[in-house]
Amino acid sequence: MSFTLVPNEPRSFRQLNHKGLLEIFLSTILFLVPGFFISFDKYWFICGVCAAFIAVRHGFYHLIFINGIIFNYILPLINFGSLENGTHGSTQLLSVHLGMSTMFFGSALIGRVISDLRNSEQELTSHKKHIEEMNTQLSKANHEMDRFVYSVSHEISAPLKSIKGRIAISKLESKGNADFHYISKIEQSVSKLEDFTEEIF
Amino acid sequence: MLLFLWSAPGPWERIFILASRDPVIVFASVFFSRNLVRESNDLSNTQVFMKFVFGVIVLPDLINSLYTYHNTFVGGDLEKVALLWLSDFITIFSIAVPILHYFKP
Repeated sequence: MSFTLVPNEPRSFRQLNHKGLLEIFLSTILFLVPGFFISFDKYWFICGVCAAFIAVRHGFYHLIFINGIIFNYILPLINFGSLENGTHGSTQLLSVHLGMSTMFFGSALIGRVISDLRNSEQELTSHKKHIEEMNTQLSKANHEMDRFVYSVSHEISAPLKSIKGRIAISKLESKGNADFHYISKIEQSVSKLEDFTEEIF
Repeated sequence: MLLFLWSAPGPWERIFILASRDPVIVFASVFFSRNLVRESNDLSNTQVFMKFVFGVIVLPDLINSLYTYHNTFVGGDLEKVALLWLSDFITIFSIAVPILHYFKP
């Protein structure tokens, strides 16, 4: 029996789950709304918090969707004016860039680790299921073997006892006869066979 | 050739160094991706992801910063070099990671 591991990580936009997409949408709104009231450099870290939240909840692929596409391309387009107005001097811009780089990399790393952990969990679950199936089959086989052994033991021991009975009668009838010696030999062999079957079964 | 056509100032050695920037960065990126991220062609685990970020984005971007520091308008201003490095990192990271996942080669 073989089994294959199919990771449940989404591989295309269509595979992003509805709950994840809803959370991405809400995070986008949460990030967008303050842009109308305060400058970008004062609240950019909110997208880091949202990204980390998405990373922990849904893993790497939802994370790169919100990080790479929404936070880096769509929202800065909307907030471009506030970005320009909100940053006074290169030091402030540098701190914003440094923070955003750290956020992008950090949240992506969190998402990647979470996805890896989920993959490992799924792999372990698959292995466990496989082992349980094997164990059930083994138990069945073991039960079948017990029944077979019991049956064989009974089928062999009954004729042996019958043979031994007939040998005992033959020995009584052939006392002092030349056949007595051969019948004794047969009896020894049958006894050995009986011991052997008892030992095995 | 373009730098010559545009009559870029300075000796030909300087023009050669300026022109070598893009090929060197591309070569570094390809070299590190082939040597570090050999086992997978997508970002399917943390190890590959880290190798990809440091080998294919951070190191070539640092090489780019050397050119930026010596041969561009920043004129040795380390703060501007750092700012450009961070900008490039954000841009490359945000383009490369989604593309590598959603349009897996």
